[in-house]
Amino acid sequence: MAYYAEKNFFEDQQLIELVTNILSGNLTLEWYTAEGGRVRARPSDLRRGLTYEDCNLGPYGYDAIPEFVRNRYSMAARGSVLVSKLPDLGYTINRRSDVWSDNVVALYEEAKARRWAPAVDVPWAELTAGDSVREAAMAQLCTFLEEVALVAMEMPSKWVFSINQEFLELKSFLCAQMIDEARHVEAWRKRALTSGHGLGRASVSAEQALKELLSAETYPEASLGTNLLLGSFVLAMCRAIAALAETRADRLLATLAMQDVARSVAYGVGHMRYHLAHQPGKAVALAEYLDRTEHVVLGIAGSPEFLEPVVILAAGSVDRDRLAAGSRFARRWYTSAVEEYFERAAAVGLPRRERSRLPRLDV
Amino acid sequence: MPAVSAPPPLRFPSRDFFEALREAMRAERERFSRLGFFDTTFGVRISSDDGGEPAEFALRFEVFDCVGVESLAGVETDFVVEGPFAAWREMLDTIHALGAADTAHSLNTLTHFGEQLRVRYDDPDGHDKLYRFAESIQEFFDLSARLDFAYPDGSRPPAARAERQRSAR
Repeated sequence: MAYYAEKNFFEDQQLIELVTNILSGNLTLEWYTAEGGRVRARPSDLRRGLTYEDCNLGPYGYDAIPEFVRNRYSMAARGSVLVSKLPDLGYTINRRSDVWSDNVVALYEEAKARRWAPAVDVPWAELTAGDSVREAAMAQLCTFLEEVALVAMEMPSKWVFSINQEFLELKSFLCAQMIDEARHVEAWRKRALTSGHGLGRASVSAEQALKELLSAETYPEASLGTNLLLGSFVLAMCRAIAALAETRADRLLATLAMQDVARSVAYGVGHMRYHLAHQPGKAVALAEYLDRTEHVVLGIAGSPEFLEPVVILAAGSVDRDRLAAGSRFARRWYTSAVEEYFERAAAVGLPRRERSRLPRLDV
Repeated sequence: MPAVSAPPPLRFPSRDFFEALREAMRAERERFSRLGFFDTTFGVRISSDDGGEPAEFALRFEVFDCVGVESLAGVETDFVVEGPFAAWREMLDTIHALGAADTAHSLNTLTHFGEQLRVRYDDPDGHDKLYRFAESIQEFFDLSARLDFAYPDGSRPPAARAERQRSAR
């Protein structure tokens, strides 16, 4: 549905006359008399530079955003002087506690400061054609992780336009998440293509599970499902790859990816804490969301396209005895990932230990 | 001229050891700046082999710097990494020999299933800082490769291997 400005500016004689006057030196200076808040932002710590926290000043600050944004639906910069006829952008998420997290501003600054470039920050030249089975497993694992990263990239993109731009730091963080995940798509893809095996096989169970997460009906559900639930397991996956790495390149790649995912998890935890602190009644609905959604973990982490490569990487070979050791590693990995997910869920006020149907394994 | 004796080696575990790491980090400002903001306070607890009191320190990081090394008691930390002296020694020996931890002796691997080192925390949000700043934390400990230090029994970490390089295995 297209939007058209109220005039064709080519045919707006009043505007053309105004422009002509200004270019002749006759300024209106209406903007100069606008009475916005007078502030002067300065870096509080020169090592960090000028951060959004330093700009959290009066009407310009994020502290001033109300719980319900009732009168700002255009792209006007937060704190600027509003005039009539500003277009409504149609934002549908206008409640602060539906999106906000107390740590989101710091996480945005952290995301920029801790950025990395897969092309040059991973010592690709150190990867040599190694054991074929192991490299095949790594290529499959990276194929799987590229699928996951694509969905993790798309989740914020699906919501960012619907969120009121008063929450500009939050929206910027969502964009940083997209950049993080674009980086993971790149990194996992490049790692698969350096293996000598090329990409592996797509996973039907993982993709269906990921689509279910992507199709969450509300932003709080989407954030809970992708940042906290999926993020907990992807973080654990990166951790396992770093622990199983045979080269510094693989260890660094997995560690740097893990750092990025951990920021999304931290936002997910902070977001749920903020959301439930302001809307405690939503705990029931979100617990029910997890009841019906946690099964996706099995579709993702239980898919052979993920689990078997992990077993082989942990085993180091396809020798039967070694595979048994690899399977033990995978069981312990899963158990540890579930445990950390339960801890995070409990910390935000959604206890899952007794309620969740996620399988518990003997380790 | 009177002979000038070399300064005695640092002792691990000790506050001086971590202060020396802090100085080494300052000398690597560019590298740590490249890794990005590093904001956490965490504890290290080294249990004594003889059942004595553990050695405990709190390490405070801000932006790109280690801004404090203090006694752990009374300090609010995001997490505490704890383990027996033998596990810490094995990690430091490997770092000293190789110039950096290999995969088996990285903090990530050592804490993975809590067998060699354990991570204690009250809030998972604090624990997740171990993941958010993983590479900075690892590279901080890797700086111990440059330190001249000895263990309580007077023994030293192994000399750097001739082929010492940053490698995973």
